[in-house]
Amino acid sequence: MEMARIRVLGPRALLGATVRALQDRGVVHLVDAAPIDGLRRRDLDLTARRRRRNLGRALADVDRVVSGLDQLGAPVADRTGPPPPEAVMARLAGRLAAEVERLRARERALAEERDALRIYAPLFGALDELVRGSATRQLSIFLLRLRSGAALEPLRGALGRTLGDAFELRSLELASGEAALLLVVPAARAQDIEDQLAEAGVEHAPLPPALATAPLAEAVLRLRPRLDELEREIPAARDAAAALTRTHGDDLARARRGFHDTLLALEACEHAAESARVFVLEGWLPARDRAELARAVAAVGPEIAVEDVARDQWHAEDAPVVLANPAVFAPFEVLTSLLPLPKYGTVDPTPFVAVMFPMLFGVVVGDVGYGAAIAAIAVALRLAGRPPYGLAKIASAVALYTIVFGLLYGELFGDLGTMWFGMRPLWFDRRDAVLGFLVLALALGLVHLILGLVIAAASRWRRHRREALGRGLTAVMLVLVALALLALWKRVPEGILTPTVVALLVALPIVIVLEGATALLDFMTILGHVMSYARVMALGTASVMLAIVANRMHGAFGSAAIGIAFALVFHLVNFAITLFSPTIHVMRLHYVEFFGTFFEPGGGPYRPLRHWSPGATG
Amino acid sequence: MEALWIPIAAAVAIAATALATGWAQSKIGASVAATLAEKPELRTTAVLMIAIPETMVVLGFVVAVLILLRAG
Repeated sequence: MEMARIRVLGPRALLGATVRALQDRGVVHLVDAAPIDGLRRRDLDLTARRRRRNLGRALADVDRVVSGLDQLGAPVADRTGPPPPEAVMARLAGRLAAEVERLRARERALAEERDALRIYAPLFGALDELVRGSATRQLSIFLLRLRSGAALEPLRGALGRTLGDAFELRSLELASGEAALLLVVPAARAQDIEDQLAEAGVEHAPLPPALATAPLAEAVLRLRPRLDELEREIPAARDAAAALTRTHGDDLARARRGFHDTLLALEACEHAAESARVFVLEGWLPARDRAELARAVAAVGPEIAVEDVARDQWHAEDAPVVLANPAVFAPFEVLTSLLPLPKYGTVDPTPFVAVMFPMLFGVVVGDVGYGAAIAAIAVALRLAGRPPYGLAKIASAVALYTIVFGLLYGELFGDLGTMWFGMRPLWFDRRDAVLGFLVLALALGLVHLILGLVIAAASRWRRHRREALGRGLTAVMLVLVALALLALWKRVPEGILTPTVVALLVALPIVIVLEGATALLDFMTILGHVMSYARVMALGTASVMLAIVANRMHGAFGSAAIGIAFALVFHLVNFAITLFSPTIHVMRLHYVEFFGTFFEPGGGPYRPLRHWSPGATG
Repeated sequence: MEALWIPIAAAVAIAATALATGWAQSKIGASVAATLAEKPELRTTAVLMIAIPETMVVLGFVVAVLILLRAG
C-alpha cells in the first residue's frame, strides 16, 4: 500500500490534544521527528513522568484484578466510555488487587485440598461400612500409603499372621501407581501394629492440612464431611469474585482502556520535537487516509498544520509496510507474514501465494475424499468462528484444489473410488504414470520460478534496470533450457535444439555482464530449485500409495471388521500426514525457491497510534 | 543377476539419501531446538531449516523410481 510521510506542526500547548486526535483516527505510525533548527526532542517533565509512573502501576493493578477475576470464572466484559478518575481508580485497583489475590489464594488452596481428598473418596463407602459394622467395638483406623500395589498381598499376609481375622483392609490403587489402604484393627493392638508398620516402612497417607493436626482416627472419619464442606466453599469463593465483577466490572473495563490509551498518548508525545512555543510530530500513514487525517487534526485548532514530507527526503527502507490485498487473497497474508515483511515499494507476494499454495497442495494430495475431509474442517473452523478466521478460507481453497486434482487423478481415498464406483481419472493415473507426474511437478516448478523471475524483472525495472534485465534474461534462459530438453525428448521439432543451445550460449555472458560473476552460480541454483519441485511428485506418490495400502487392509486380516478398523486408522494417519507434510513442503517451495527469485525482505511493521483494545499487541 | 542389482540399486538410492537426510536433520533439529528456546520468533526459519535436507531423500526417491522404471 502506498504510504505518505507527514509532519504535524502546531502550538506546543495543543500537543496533547493533537496526539489524542491522531489516536482517535488510528492511522498514523509515529516516528521520532527529524531534527529541525531550534527544536529539540521532547522530554517529559517531572509531573508527566510521575503521572506515567503512577498510571503504569494503577494499570498493572487493574490488569491483575481483571486477570484474577477471569481465572476465578468471573470475567470482566470489555466496556468503552469515559474512564473513572485516575486517582480514585488507582486506589480502588490496589484494594481490589489485594482482594482478588486473597480470593485466588483461597480458591487455589481449597481446590488443592479437595483434589487431595477426592483421591480417598472411593474408600469412603468402605470406611462407613467398617465403622457402622463394628460400632460396638473399640477400633483404630489407619490410612496408609504403599509405594507399589505389589506390596499389598505381603502386607495382608503379615497382618493375618499377627491379628488372625481381627482386621479389615481395603485398598485403592492410585493413578500414580501407589496404593491407598484403609486398615481397621482392634484398638488394643493399635500400638503393636503401628510399630510393625513402621518397621516394614509402610507410610501413613498424607492428609490435607486442615485434618493433619487432628488425631488420625478422628481425621479419617472427617474426610467425607470435609470434602462436602470444600464442595460448598469453592463456589462461595467464586461467588465472591462474581460479586466483585458485578460491582466494579464496568469501572475496571473502562479504566483499563482509558489508562492504556493515556499511556500510549504519553509515549507518543515523546516522539515530538519542540521549542518553547511549537511542536512537530512526524509519522507514516496510508496515502489514502491523508486527507481525512488533515480534516480530523484541523478540528483541534486552526493553528495545527499537516504537511507532507517530500518523497526525496525519506528512504523506502524507513517506511512501514501495510499488506493490503483483496478479500479473496487477504487470508493468505498469514502465510506471507511468517517471513519478514517485504521492503516498502517491492512486490507483496501474497496474491501469488494465494493462487499457487492451494494449487500445489492440491497437486500433491489430489484426492476427492481427503479434499472433502479438509472441506469439512474448513466448515468446522468457520462455524467455530474463532480466530484466525483466515484459516477456514485457506482450508477452503486447499480443499477445492484437492478435490479438483482428485477428479483429474481419479482418486477417492486412494483407489476406493475405482473399486466402489468405477471412478476413472480425467487426466492421468498417478499410480501408473509416475514419470509423467514427475514431469508435471518439474514443469510446475519451471513455470513457478519463471513467474518469480518475471515479477522480479517487472518490479525492479524502475529502480534497478540492469538487474531487471538480468532477471528477465534468466527467465528466458529457463525457457530455453526447457525447450532444449523438449527437443531432446522429441516433444518439439528437433530442429530447434541447435538454435536454442546457441541462444543459451549467447544469453549466458550477457547475464553475467548484467548481474555480475555470481549470475552463473545463481542460474545453476535456479535450475536446482526447479529440481526441488520433484518433491511434489514424491509426496504425491507416497500419499496415494499409503491410501492404497490402507484400502488393502480389510482383506489382509481374517476378520473384515478388524480389517476395516485398521483401514480407517491407516487412512486417518495418512490424512494427518497429508495435512502436515505437504503444507510444510509447499510452504518451503514458496519461501525458498519461489521467493528467492524476487522477494526483497526488510519492511518494518506498521504500528499506528490508536486506541487500546483487549488483544491488541501494543 | 541384473534383476537382483536393480532393486538393490533403487534401495541404496533411497536408503543412503534417507540416512543422509536423517543425519542432517538430527544436527539441524538440535540446533533449532536450542535456537527456538531463546528466539521463538524464528520458528518459520526453523521449519524451513528442518525441511531443507529433505531435498536429498526426495531426489533419492526420484532416482530410485527412475531406476525401477528404466528396468521396466
